[in-house]
Amino acid sequence: MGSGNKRKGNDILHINRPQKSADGGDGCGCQKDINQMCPPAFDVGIKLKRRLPNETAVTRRGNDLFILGEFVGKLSTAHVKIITECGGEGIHYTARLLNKGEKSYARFVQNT
Amino acid sequence: MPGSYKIPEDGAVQPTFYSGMCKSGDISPHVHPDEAMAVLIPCADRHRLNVVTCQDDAKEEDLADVGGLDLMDVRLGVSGTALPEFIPIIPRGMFRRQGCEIPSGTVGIVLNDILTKKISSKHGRYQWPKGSKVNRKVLENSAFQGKRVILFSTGPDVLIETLWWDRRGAGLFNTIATMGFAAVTGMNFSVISGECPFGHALNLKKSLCYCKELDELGVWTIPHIYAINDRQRERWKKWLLANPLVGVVTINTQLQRKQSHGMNEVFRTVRFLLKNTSVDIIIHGRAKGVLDGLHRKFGKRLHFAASGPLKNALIRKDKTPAEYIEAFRCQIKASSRS
Repeated sequence: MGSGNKRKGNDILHINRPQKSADGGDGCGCQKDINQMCPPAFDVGIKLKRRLPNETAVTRRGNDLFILGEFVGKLSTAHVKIITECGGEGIHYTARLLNKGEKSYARFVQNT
Repeated sequence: MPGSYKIPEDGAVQPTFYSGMCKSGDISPHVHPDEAMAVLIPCADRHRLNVVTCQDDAKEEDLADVGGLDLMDVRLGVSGTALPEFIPIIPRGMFRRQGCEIPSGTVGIVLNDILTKKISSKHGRYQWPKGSKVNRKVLENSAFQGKRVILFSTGPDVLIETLWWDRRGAGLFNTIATMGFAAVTGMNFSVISGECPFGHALNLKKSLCYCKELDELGVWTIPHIYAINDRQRERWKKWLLANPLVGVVTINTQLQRKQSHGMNEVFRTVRFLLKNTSVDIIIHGRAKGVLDGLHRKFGKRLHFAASGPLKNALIRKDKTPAEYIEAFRCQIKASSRS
């Protein structure tokens, strides 16, 4: 990317471990790209009973999502998979409320 | 200057809060213990975020992947020909223009523009577009007809790290070697001051290994050089003196586009290489404020590559590509006189 004192804020990734084939030789191209497996951010649709400001913290208990102690939605199996698998790689997410027009989302962003 | 740390020339090195936790000094001579003194970000628990550190559990795999950190393991054998002072880089939006509109026999192209899908930005971050691959036929576009084309293997980390990681699975080197480039530069893996010097050394070696793979396929490669302290500059000097067939190197200045102070470190490296080796240097990107007197003394060994002139011609449409290229040439001359 470059050389200097500061990285660009939008050019962030996790460096994959080198690929290896079964015989330890050249890479086979079959290993998962951790940056595809663990996206920088993803949105989960939620339902609010009352309008709340953007950036309000969203908490998770199991597959359920809460804002200020109130149930607002559930994580899909795919989202649970992302959070679980990436957690195993040391990549964790924090969720905040994002309002887009009439709809609301929990935006999960990697902690970096 | 946020996050800056310079190893003083008198050798009186001051440790930072995190330098004691960095173990890079243990791998001397590939990293000098003084370099660890400049660490401003803790090496532990980075989880390979942007860089591999000395305390990464899997760092041995990375070392094996590049055959260790010693630059001297890499020997390049394919040499090239003379280059013009300015190499315009043709942006994707101009590929279908006629080559005669661009008055230069030697032009450049960047990695992002040889992909079938460009790197995109989502949620405020660059992301590798799924299914993107190298477009083998990119040089068949009319803009490149009758021209020597240099592939500048530079771009965001998301781009170069992904291509590098999947290089074997995707057959990257064979693909590039058969596309008809006159030359290919090394990848500009990041060397950010304050980060673990193990990561710096690994990235410098990765960039050379990229050149080596292509060199073995008969491609003229132009090593990409980053150096942010005198120890690194000395290592490059040693390597260049041991590789006399390397006549040209390049330095990408994309991170200095908006930071004039960042150019000081780049020019320090340029000055050092011009004085201590015989290589020509292509400065890729920002070139303003070129070097007090260096242009006059070493002008014939300095080359410039930039996409700015042709991007301006494409977007602004107020002047022709030729006029923008001429304006850039004048700008280089004017800044070297000031």
